[in-house]
Amino acid sequence: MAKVMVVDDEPDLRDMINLMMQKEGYETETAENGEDFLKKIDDFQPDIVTLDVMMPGLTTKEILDKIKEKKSDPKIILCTVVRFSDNEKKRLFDMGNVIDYITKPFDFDIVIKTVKEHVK
Amino acid sequence: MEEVLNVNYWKEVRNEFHKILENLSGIVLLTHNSIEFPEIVDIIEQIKPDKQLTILYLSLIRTYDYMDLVLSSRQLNNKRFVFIDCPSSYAFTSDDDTNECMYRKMPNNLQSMIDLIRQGVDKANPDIVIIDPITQFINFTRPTGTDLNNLYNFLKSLRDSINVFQDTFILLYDTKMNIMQQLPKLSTDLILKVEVIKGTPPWKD
Repeated sequence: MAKVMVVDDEPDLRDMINLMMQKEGYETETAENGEDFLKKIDDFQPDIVTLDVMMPGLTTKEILDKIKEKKSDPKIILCTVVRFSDNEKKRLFDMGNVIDYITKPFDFDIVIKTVKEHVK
Repeated sequence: MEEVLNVNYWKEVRNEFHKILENLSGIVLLTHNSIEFPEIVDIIEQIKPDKQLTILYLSLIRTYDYMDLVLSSRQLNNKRFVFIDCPSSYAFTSDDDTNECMYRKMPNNLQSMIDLIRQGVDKANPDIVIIDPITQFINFTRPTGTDLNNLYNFLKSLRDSINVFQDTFILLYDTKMNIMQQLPKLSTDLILKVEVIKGTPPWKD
């Protein structure tokens, strides 16, 4: 079964997505910010990561750059309340590992559907 | 394909809406996160449509690049925008300030937002201040007494610190996502509900 890591600084949202992923049968791990994520990534070796864009600490670009130094090479789904322009979205996708983008507030079914699509 | 068919604005008397906006001055517009940027621009267009106005736009969830693209597709010749872009710094290395945009870190709370707005006021000398959205700091669906008190204190401090011209506080919201159980009636002068009606136009069936 695929491994999913949920990275979000909002505890309620993080726990909710984590719980839903467990119900879908995925092995899960959580992280509360970019630093925590980078600490845990090589031990957990996730296939998919849902990554909040607006977290304190490292920027999304810094997180994506640092993943390149890790053994793990997960697919990343960005989850964000931020409205980016198409150019900015392209910049995010060009940073590597990013394969999808979900806009908050979202329906949890969309998160499950998006993860399932990319696990295939 | 669904399109926006109609946009209604509700106050106590719906038909007064356009007249109210035409005559308002010194506006602080607080938005709910259910409102999209083009809808906010629609409102701005209706405020003193024939006058040259400067708008200080504090954005907590939309990047300058995104908003600039929307504005470039509209004819807003007599409205000048100065943005404070907070979300860009979460994703990218921040750009340098320009005449149109200041890039800043997200304020930690309502009180620290006042300093940010004061910086923007010093730069832009605006006629209108927009905080988009205030709901980054308060959830109107289930606000606690403390939340509402903090909001009241924030609006009072803001009014005191930029009171030279800002005298009308408006909350703009839409109910498409959340039930607004508690509205800050004590702290605002006007609460506008925006209703966007979407559907397939009958002439396209």
